[in-house]
Amino acid sequence: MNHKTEDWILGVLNADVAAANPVANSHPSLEVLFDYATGGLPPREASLIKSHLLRCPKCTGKLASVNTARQSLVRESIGKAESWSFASWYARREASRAKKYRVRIFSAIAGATASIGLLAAGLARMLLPATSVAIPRDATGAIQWDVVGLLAAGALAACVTLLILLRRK
Amino acid sequence: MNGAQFETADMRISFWQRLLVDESVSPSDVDEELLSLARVSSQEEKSAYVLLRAVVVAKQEMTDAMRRNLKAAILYWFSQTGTSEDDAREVIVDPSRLETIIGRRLTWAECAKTVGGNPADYSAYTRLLDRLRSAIQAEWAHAFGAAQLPLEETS
Repeated sequence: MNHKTEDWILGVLNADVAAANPVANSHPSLEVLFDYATGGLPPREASLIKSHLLRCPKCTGKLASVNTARQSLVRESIGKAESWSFASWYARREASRAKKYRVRIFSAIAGATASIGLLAAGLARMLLPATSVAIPRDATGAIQWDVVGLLAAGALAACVTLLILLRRK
Repeated sequence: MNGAQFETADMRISFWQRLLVDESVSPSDVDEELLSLARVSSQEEKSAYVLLRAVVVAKQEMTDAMRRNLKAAILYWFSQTGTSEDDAREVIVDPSRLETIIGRRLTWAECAKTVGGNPADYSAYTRLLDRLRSAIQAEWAHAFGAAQLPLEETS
């Protein structure tokens, strides 16, 4: 008689345990463990998984692996975010600044070369009228517009060069 | 298994947990949570309700020694439910938490020893089953009428 009572009790409790705790008797999948690790499970399901983990070393080991993988992913994503926000942005900014700097230096050198050339040519034309590089002269002594033009062009080129060099940005 | 079954089974398990740690549970607590659902449910659900209520009612009239045996019985019963996982015994059993007991296949002697009882006294378990048997019959008759009493001798 007692065996029958015991069997009945065990049958009733077995059904309750199976109904209340379906996860207890089966191993949760990796996806479910990942959701559990990230807090993505509803409280009741999380509680069932927790119950299972308490008595299943195999799944506890799996959860540890899931947590390790998850932490690596988190570190990687943080690294990516950091490289975008700081290193990448800084590198782009520096490259842009370097390009602008190169353009300015090239313009300055070109301007300086032009102004020095023009001024030298003007001075040579003015001070050394008999040299071989002289421009054909006017015999009546009229204003030599070519000399004035060279000097003016040289001064203008020097001013442009100065402006380029003094510009801040 | 549907959601309602899950809910009620879960509620019953929480009552068993409270009984295991000697928390106060009255028959009216059980009725309040489970009776209306049990009345419209399957035979299995009715049985689960009746077993829980019978234990709660019987416990109220038990001596301290009998209550200790009841606690050992709850450990024993739940250790016999569920499926035993491999290496399960390597995990620490916490006798105050049902979820660590389920599927452990503990012996009566182990359970009796855990609660401070005499592991060699198997008759204590037999006496407890006798006591519960009559309580189960009475509770079933009280809740659902005497027409379908469980545990009736067929021979």
